[in-house]
Amino acid sequence: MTDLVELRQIIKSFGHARALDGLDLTISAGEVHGLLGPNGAGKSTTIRVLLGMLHADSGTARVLGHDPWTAAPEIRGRLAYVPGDVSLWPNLTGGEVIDLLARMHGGEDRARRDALIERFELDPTKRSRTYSKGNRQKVGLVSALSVTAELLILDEPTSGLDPLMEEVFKQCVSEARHEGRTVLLSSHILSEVEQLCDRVSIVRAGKVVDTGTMAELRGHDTTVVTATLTRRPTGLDTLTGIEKVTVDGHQIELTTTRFDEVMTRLASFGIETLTVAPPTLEDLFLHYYDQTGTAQDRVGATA
Amino acid sequence: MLGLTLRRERLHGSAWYLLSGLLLLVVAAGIVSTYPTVADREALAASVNASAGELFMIGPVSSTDVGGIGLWRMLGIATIFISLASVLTMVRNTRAPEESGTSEMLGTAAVGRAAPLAAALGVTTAGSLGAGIVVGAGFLGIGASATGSLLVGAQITMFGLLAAALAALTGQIVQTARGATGIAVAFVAAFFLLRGAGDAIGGNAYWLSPFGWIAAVRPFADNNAVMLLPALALTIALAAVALWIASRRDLGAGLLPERVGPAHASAALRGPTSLALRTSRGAMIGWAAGALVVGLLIGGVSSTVDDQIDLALGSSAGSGSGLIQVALYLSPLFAAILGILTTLRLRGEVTSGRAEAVLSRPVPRSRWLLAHAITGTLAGLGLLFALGLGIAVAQLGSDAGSFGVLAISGALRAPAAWVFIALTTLLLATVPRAASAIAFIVIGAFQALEFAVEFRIIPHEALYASPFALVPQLPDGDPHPWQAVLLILIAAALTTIATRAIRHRDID
Ligand SMILES: Nc1ncnc2c1ncn2[C@@H]1O[C@H](COP(=O)(O)OP(=O)(O)OP(=O)(O)O)[C@@H](O)[C@H]1O
Ligand SMILES: [Mg+2]
Repeated sequence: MTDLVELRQIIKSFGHARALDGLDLTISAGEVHGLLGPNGAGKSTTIRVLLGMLHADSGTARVLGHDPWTAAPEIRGRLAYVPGDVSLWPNLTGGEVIDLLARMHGGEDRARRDALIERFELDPTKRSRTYSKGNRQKVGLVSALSVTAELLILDEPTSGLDPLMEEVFKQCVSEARHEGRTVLLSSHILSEVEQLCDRVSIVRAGKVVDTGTMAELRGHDTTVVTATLTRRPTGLDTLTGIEKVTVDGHQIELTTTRFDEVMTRLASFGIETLTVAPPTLEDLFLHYYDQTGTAQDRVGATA
Repeated sequence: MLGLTLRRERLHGSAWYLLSGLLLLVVAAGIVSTYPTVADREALAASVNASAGELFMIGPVSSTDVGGIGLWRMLGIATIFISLASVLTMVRNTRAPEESGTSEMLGTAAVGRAAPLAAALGVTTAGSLGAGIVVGAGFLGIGASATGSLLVGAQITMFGLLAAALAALTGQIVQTARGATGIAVAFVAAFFLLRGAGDAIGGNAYWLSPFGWIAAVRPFADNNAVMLLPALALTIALAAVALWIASRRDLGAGLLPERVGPAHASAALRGPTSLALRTSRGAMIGWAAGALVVGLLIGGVSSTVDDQIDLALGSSAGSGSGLIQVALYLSPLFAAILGILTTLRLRGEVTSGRAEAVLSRPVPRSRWLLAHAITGTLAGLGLLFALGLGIAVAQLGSDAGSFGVLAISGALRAPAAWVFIALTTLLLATVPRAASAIAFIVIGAFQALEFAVEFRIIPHEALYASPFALVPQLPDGDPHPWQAVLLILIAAALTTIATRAIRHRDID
C-alpha cells in the first residue's frame, strides 16, 4: 500500500501559540483514518496544512505525492474536503452552491448529485441564508461526495446532523471505502470513529501521541481490575506496572497490563469478587485527553 | 443591554463620531483661515451663491461671518460623515449580530425583543450628541457667536439622529446587515442629492430633502431653531415604527418573506470570478443606478442654472468648477471607495470560512484574488460610466454635440480608481488583516491633499501627485493621455505583484 498522506515533524505556530508541535501522520491508500483529539489539539490546523492553506513552519508534508503548499491546485482536484462549519454564500441556493463547487472541482456528476441530495433530504431551492447548521453541513457533504476524489478529508463533518442523517453519512463513508477511496475523518464522536475507521491517530497539544488500529490502541492501554479482598491489601507500592490504585477498605481498583504479577499478589489477600474490564474507546479517549495541562504543555513548548 | 452595547461601542462607535466631528472642525477652521477678512468672505459668498456647482455640492453661504463661512464649507460633508457614523453603528448593533447569531446568545436572557434596538438607539443618540458638542464647542473656539454655535451643534446632532432612525428601520425590514446598510446609505445619498438639487433650484425647493430642512435652520443668519422640528418629528416616527416592528417580529426574520430560488446553478456560474460578480451584483447595479440618477440630476440642473463661474477653490484641478466638472472630478473618489469595498469582500470570504470552500478546490489563489480585483474594477467602472452617461443624456437638449465626450467622461476617469483597487489587492495579498484600514488611510491622505491645496497650505502643483488629478479631465480639462496610460500600468503592476505575493501567505 502506498501512503496518500505523509506528514513528518510538522510545526506550525500562530504568533506565540504553537498549534502543531512536531506532528507525524501517515495515511495509507484505501483506509479510513480517524483523527481524534480534544478541542484545540490541532486537528483542523493539520487538515489546513494538508489542503495547502497554511504553510508549515518546518517539517515535510506530502499529499498524493506532492507538497500541498507548492503544488496545491493540482492535488486539490483529486481530493474533496468538508469543513466542520460549512459557511455558504447567503444569496445562493444550496443547489447553486453544490453545482458551483462541483464545476470548480471539475467533473460534475448530475446523477450522483441528485441521488445524494435525495438521501440527505436536502431542499436545494432554499437560499443558504435560511439553512440551519445541519442543512449547511449537508450542502458541504453533498458537494464533497458528489465529485470524484481519491481522498476525502472530513473535519468533524457530522456536527449538527441529526442521528438519521448521521447514519446516511456513515453509509456514504462505507461506500467510499468500498469504491477504494481514502478518508481522513476528524471527529469527537467515538462511536462514529469506532464504526468507520480502520486506523486512528490521537492528537494532543499539536502532536500525534498514538496511532494504530482500534485493537492496537486498546492493547496500549490498561485493563481495569476491580476486586473485593478478604484481607486489607498492603505493600502494593512495590508492584510495578499498575496505575490509578484506589483502596477503600477491602475494595481495590487498579489498572494494569501485567496480569500475572497483579493476580498473584491479589490472590495472596484472598479474592472474593473480581471484575476485569477491557478499556472502551471512552477510557482510551480519557486516558489520552485527561493528561491535563494541555495548555501548560503548549506554553512550555513555546517558552 | 444598553450597558453591554455601550461597552462594546465605547471605542469603535465613539471614535467614528468624534473623529467625524473633529474632521468637520478642521474643515471649518481651514476655510476660515483661508478667507480671514470680511471682504474675502463676501467675495467668496457672492461667487458661491452664483455657482450651481457649489450650491449643489455644498449649499449656499447664508452668512459671511466666521461661523457662517465655516458652517457652509462643512455642512455638506457633515451630512455624509455623521450619517454614515450613525448608519454603521446602528446596523452593527442590530441586524449584524442578529444575522451572525450573536443575538441568539443574548436573546435567552429575556432582554426583550426590542432591547437591542433600544440600546443601539441610545448609543447613536449619545454619539450624535457627542459629535454635536465637539463641533458646537469648536465653532465657539474659532470665534463664532454662541447662539449660532449651539445651533450648528444641534444640526450635527440632528443629522446623526435622523440617519440612526433610518438605519434602525431598514435594519428591522431587511434580513441582511449589508442590505440594511445599503438601503440606509442609499437614502442618505438621496437626501444629499435632493438637498443639492433643492439648493441649486432655490426658493422653497429646500423642502425636497430632510437635509434641506435641517440646513434651513441657517445658524449665524436666521438662527431659526424651529426648522429642527420637522426632521425631529420624522426621526421619532421612523424610530417608533422600527421599535414597533422589533417588538413584534421573530429573531432573524425581516418583513419581506424569503423566496425560494433555482435548484441548479445557471451555466454562467462556474468559477471564482463569476461567483464574485454574482455576490457583488446587487451592490454594483445599485451603485451604477444611483450614479445614473445623479448624472441625470446634475446634467439637468446644470443645463438650466449653471453659469460656469470659475471659483478660486483648488480641488477641481484645472477641469473647471461648473457643476458637471466638479461632479466628474469627485466621481473617481466614489468609484475608488466602491471598488475598494468590493475588493475587500475577499477578506469577508476568508473570515467567514467561505474562502476554504473555494480554495480547497483546484482554484489557484491568484485567480481567486484576481476575481475580487476584477469585480472591484468593474464596479468602479460601472459607476463612472453610469454617471457620465446620465450627464450626457440630461445634456442632450442643450449640448447634443458633446454627447459622445460626456458619455465617456466618467469612464475615462476609472484609472484613478483602479490604482486604489490594485493597491487594495496588493494589501490583501500581503497584509490582509490591515488591508481595509491602510486602503482607507491612503484614500484619506489623498483627500487631505486636496483640502491642503484648497486651503492654500501647499501649492496647486502638488495635486499632480494625485491619481484623481491625473486622469483625463474631459470634457473641458486636459485629456492627460499618457498619464492615464501610466496609471493603468501602475494598477496592472500592483495587481501582478499581488497575484505573486498571495502564493506565500497563509489563508487565515
Ligand atoms: N488562525 C489561527 N490563528 C491563531 N491561532 C489559531 C489559528 N487557528 C488555530 N489556532 C490555534 O491553534 C490551536 C489548534 O487549533 P485547531 O483548530 O487545529 O484545533 P482542533 O483540534 O481542530 O479543535 P476543535 O476540536 O475544537 O475543532 C488552537 O489553540 C487554536 O486556538
Ligand atoms: Mg477543528
